[in-house]
Amino acid sequence: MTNKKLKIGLFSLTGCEGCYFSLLDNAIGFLRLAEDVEIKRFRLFEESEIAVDEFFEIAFVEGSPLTSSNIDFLRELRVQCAYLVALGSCAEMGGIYHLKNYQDKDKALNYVYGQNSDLENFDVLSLKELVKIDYAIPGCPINAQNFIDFVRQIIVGNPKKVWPNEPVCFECISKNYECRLQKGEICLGPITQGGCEAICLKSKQGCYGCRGLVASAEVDNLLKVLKKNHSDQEIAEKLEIFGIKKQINSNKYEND
Amino acid sequence: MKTIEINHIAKTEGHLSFVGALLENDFALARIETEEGSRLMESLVLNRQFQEVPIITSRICGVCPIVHNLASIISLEEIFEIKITEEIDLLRQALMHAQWIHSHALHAFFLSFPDVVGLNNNFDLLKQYPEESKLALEIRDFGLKLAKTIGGRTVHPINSVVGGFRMVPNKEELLEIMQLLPAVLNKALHLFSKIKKYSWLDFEAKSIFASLYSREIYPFWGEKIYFSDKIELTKNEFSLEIEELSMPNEKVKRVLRKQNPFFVGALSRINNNYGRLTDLAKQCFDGLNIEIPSYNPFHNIWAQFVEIINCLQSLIPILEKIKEDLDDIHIDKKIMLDYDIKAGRGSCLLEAPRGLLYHEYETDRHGKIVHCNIITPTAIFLANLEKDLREFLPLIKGKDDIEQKKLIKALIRSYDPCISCATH
Repeated sequence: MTNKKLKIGLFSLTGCEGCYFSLLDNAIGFLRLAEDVEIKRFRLFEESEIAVDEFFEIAFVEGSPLTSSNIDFLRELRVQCAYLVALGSCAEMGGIYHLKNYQDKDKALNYVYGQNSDLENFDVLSLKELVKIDYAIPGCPINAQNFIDFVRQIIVGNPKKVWPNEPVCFECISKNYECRLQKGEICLGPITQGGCEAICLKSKQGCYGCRGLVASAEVDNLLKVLKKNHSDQEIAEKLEIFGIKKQINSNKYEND
Repeated sequence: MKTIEINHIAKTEGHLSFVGALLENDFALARIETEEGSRLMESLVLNRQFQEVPIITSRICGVCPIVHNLASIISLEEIFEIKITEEIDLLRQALMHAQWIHSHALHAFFLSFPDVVGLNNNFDLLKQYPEESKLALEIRDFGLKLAKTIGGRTVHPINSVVGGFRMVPNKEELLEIMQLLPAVLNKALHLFSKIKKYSWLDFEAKSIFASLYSREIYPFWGEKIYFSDKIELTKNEFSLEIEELSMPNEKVKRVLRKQNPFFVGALSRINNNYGRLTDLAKQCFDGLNIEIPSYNPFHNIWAQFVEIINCLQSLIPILEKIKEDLDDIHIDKKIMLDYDIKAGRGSCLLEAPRGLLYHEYETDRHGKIVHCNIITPTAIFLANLEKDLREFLPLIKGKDDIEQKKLIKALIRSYDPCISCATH
């Protein structure tokens, strides 16, 4: 390891910026990390703009590419960084805003802005549908500790996922939270990537799958269980919210 | 003619730019442009089950998710005719206090105070004002802890739902928060005494200040809205009288009442409800020697600091009562109510950290959403901010470009715009 600090850029496209607020909410952890790396272009922290020839060892991008300037920026950033990391559900898998893709998007625009609007109204894409993504930190919002641990792994030259390849159920059971499936509710815990401390289950809310599919998720098994108590439409709506349905469909496509 | 353009103004929630021009006879143009794409949030909830609405709308904004969550919930409860218990009301009040405290601590200290002391980078702020920064972080952290204990998470609450709260807050966590509270209040007073010596520009812009209004309390939600041109409206009158302007290529719909822009947020609230501040908050405000009403938009930052103190002091009796409630063995039933799903229309007007927030929904008899409209504080005050900027530009015309841009950014930030909310 050299003494030179890693240069990390924090960027956001269109979104709620909740992933960065999650990071700031763990202020002590974030500020400690900021001593060991060089954090640049964090717009909640500083007044500065990315330079054309600037290079980042890691660039994190949060939010959805919803404007042409968002898309141009993302493409330019790709060549200005070694690792491009999608931060949060929106960037990784489409997230809440991609619900528009299940609607007639012209109607949706008319509903909000009226007939005369000529605003850009793209399909809501995840980042990897536009550029190559090296890693993703999952969640809506991200778990700040996941972010910090991930950067620390890069500092020691070993970038990798820092959360276990286990579904949310794993943490839920270990914390002794009540199983929502056994209560007949919809919970996507069995197929969703863990590492969130099963935080929704703590508040007795079934998992909505905001962290995406866990490796070798047994989707069909879960669907069988859910269909006992719920209509196909109810299940589909739940799968849509953060983008798991889209992931399931594209996995099927890849397997075909 | 001189034009001024500032692209990508940082240290605001969401992305925005400024375009202005100074014409002859000090006539000025000023426009705030959002760089956010439109997420069409109001459309996203259509045809979906009502339970998903607070989950979806909280994603409008990562800094004020609690107010969107609660505004959705309260609107839907109006449709289902759910009468909430005192226990639920207290928990929601605590959640609102938490929201204001952490949002204000972030904006007033980390986003706007650097403008007061002329710093561009918050890492420099932390180095040059270590004691103040530590105090602000501790105050913010307190708000976050409280939000997490009651809402289940800091960003995007989980526990707060239609009908109340799924989980009884953990009593040990609450006791720990109650133990911290007096010290945090002292820290806020200490921080206030340190920062109040910094002075701001003298700039007066006549505005109409709108906020909720009450004779008894400093209100978070309610039915009466007061406009400082001595107009009082009910929630329904408010929704009928205000106008959302849609322009073909504008992502934020500007809001006017009778063709006039108006100011909302901390300064509006203090101007309209000064008498209902707590004694300590009043003392702090009085120590600033600001006359009520204040027409200086920069005072919005000081008003936020005063509201932090107001929140911390008014939390003391609220948390005491919640503690007593938690001893009740039937508390879980009192904070989560049963209800019947109905078709109908409901709305909620509440005071978000940045000012009045309005949500409105219609459901069908299965609880599916068939109509939604959301009007955010920033969308409301944007036209007023642009008015202030038009008055401000001629006053700073003698300064050099760099200084002009600095001052324009400072004025914009003093309003605490949340462009994510405005562009929802």
